[in-house]
Amino acid sequence: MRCDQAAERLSHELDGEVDDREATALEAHIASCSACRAFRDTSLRVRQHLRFEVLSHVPDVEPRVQATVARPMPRARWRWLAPAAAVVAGIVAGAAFIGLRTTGGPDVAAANLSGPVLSAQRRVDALVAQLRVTERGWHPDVPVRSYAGHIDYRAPESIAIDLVDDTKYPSTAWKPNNVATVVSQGTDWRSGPAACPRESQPSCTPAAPRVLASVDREPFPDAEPAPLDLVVPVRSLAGGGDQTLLGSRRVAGRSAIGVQVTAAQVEPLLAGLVQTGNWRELYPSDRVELWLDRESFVPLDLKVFPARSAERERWAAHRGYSDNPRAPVLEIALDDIRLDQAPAADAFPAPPPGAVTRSLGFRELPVDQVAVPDPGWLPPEMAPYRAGLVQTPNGPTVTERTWSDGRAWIKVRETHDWTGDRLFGDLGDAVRRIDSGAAGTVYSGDGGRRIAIHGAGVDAAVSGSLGGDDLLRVATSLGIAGEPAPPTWAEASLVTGPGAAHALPGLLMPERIGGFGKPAVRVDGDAVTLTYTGAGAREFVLVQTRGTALAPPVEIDTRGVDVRGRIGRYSPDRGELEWVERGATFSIRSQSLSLSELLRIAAHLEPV
Amino acid sequence: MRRAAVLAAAAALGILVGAIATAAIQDSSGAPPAAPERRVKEVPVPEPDEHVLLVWTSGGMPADFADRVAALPGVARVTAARGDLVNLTASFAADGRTVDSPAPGYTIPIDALAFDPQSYAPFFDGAAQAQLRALPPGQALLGATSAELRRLGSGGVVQLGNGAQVTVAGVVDDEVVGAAELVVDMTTAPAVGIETVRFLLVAYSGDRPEVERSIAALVPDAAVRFRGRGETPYLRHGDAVLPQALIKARFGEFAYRPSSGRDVLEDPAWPQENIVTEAVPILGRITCHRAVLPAIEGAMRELEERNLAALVDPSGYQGCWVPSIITPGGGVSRHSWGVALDLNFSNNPTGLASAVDPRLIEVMDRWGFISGANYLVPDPGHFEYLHPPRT
Repeated sequence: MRCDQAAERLSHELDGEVDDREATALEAHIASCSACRAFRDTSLRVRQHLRFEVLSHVPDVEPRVQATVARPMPRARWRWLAPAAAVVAGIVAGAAFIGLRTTGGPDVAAANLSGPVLSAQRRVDALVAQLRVTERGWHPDVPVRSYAGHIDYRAPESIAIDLVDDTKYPSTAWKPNNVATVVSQGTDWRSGPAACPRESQPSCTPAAPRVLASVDREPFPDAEPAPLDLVVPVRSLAGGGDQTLLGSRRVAGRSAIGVQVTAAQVEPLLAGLVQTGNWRELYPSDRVELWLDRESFVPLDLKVFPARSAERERWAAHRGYSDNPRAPVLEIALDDIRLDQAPAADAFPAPPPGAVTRSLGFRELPVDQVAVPDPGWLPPEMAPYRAGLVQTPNGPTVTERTWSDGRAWIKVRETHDWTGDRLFGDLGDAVRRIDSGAAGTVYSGDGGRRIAIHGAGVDAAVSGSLGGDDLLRVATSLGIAGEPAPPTWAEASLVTGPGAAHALPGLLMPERIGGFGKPAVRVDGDAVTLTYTGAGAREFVLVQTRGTALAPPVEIDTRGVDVRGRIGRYSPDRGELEWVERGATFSIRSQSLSLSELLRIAAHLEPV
Repeated sequence: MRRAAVLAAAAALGILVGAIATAAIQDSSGAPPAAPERRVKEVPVPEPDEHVLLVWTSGGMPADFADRVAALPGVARVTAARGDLVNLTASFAADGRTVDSPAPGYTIPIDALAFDPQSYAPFFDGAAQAQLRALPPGQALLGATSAELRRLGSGGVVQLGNGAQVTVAGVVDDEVVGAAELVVDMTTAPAVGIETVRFLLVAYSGDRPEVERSIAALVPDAAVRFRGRGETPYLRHGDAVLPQALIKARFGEFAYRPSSGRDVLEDPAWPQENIVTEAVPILGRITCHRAVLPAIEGAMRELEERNLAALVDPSGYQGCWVPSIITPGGGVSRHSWGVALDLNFSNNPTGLASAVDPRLIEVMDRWGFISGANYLVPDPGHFEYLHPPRT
């Protein structure tokens, strides 16, 4: 058995997926390989530290290992055999050590990071660090770009990111992609080059940066969120189910754990960095190796590698990228990290002169002057933060209060003059109706990150960086008797799983798929739409309707694929997998999941 | 003791060699590539039972055209779509917050379509079909590109210049709504200001040329364009050019107000950031969008280098950035973005057959500009941005 095989089987063993024969071979190898022993011990420590859910019993291999070690080894016939074997063993051990230490090795274990990351955000009050970014493949004439800068953060929402492009460009015609983002309470601004198509570079990029500023900014706005996932990746990891662990090692002088995710999952983190300026695109299924500080979960190092699939190659070809699958297309690294050290007084500067500025309509008020129902329950140590009023010319008057205990936050908004024809609170498309008992009917959207309540003469919304259960508890403690959405509202057609099965007998729903919450279920005639939301930008929509044939494809470049033993069709640009089964047409659609993942979901469909 | 020392030294040497070699390999390769995704079992692409044809005529079509086409042999189903330009005066997010608010007197031009959800939806597959069928009166769907431009999702509100206000019911793929920016059902169309019947989608079985001949015979005085799936990215009228939403996504969006005749005045902030004047070979100084100037310069340089400069008469250059609409009440000219240019115009007025040398068309196409020579109403001197240069 080689070390890489041993590492892989160790991973399976930790998941309880190794049979006795494999376990024996594995133990024999571990007994003779110090690097693999160290690797196993590290994996076990990582798991224990994260307190992840043990999927099943992990066999106690220690007695058998000891027995194997104690077994006398046969004596070699030739004198040189032992030194030669020592050299070979040393090479293997050295290679394995370096290999495992620096890359984390193949999939080694899985852990649910939701709890740890939600909890860790409450311990981070400040962050000051140097930032280093490397970008590959942006332009054929500039294969690699590099940036240096810093990140400053002060809880709960003041953040400044400044990146200076230190790339050596082919000529002075190229303008550096210097970017800055500053969010500080009621103001935010972003500076960077105006957008310019890649093929028109370098001459089309204006010499002067474009600076956009917003004032009268409400705390934690949905529309222009501060890039807080760069501090603790709550949106990227919470609700993501079991994550593949890469192991643990030291990064930037800190003890770190690694996880393997996709670019779609860490989209909130990446978007915070590339929200202004000209950057290359990333494919949603690109593999991301993310190393997090073991204690605070601050991202220390992130590398994005090209996914390996026909769809990814097609996507790259359309954009003119020729990516090397072995080289990360984007690297982000923090260094000189000072956690909980207050940023400098001038860390969050005002917008530079000449910024195009607009008002977002928020008026800050003392907390005691803002009439918002007090939650009967708040998580411990949550202290009042900002409060105020949002008044826009054609919108309702909205009062809001916020609470925070560090990076974590909760916001409650309320209005008495809501005239919209759907729920107040901008829950998005994936909305779930929840019967909360005494508090009546409430609605959950955005993967549980937003809760809405429609009551008699009042509409309220709760949002925050906490887990969905905590937000629901806050919402149901507001003292508002939640009523079902009126029949004319969009949410009136929301049902539960059994309700959907009644509308479409024979309804299939996926079983045992990790990383996605309960679906939002909507019935339109005989069409049932189930929307699943996961961490970051991961989502998929499953539509079932009566029918015996698929409509002609929208895309011409479709692929025929085997789905559940039937002939199906995949449209790569739209990310849609379709087939016909038992008198119904099925569509699973996602812009963030690969075809392999869609097929896996299809394979897990079972009757409700 | 000596033997133990030898073994230890050998092992240390091995560890050193292995570590250095592995580190060297990793340094040279970055990191192991992602594992290939799980193998997908390929099967033949399922054949649809029927085929789809896009049918449109320039300037609209008779109101009863769809019914007459539906009665033709071989035609299984027909749906008609209306389309016009409407003007956005404000937009609001689902929580009432103002998103777009053009300066007083200015509006944002929006490419809008209307259809009958029940007859239009079956032309599209799975997820899209459910969304299209579910569009209620008084609400709107946004194409995906439009939703990004508008920064709106479900529950957002679009307010129009005629006082109409529609709530966003959802966001759909560009491909299923011809990349339109705003889509409403037929009953809502009059209130929004959408009147002109623009195109038909026809489901047919059997011989395509025969179906085309039958349809064309219904309007003998009009030129009719037929497209099948795969022959055009967007099933809509004016399919030869990029839909307005995609032009906006690439080159930016402006607010404008009427000026005289077909001319419009753009919000000054937009041309200030995007329109530049530079000298290019053959034409001299021209004023265009900064993102297409390199391609125009490349095309003119190629003509010079191939001794084809004589194909362009500098005195026939009629401009690039000319803020205007195509016809009163019609679409926004791509000249408004500074991404189209009129060449040799004295010899090639709109509506006449092409007198443009095919070598000029070929060079301009390579640099990303489609010639209007093959438009349904030919505009042979007109070259308009369509795609990135193929160089």
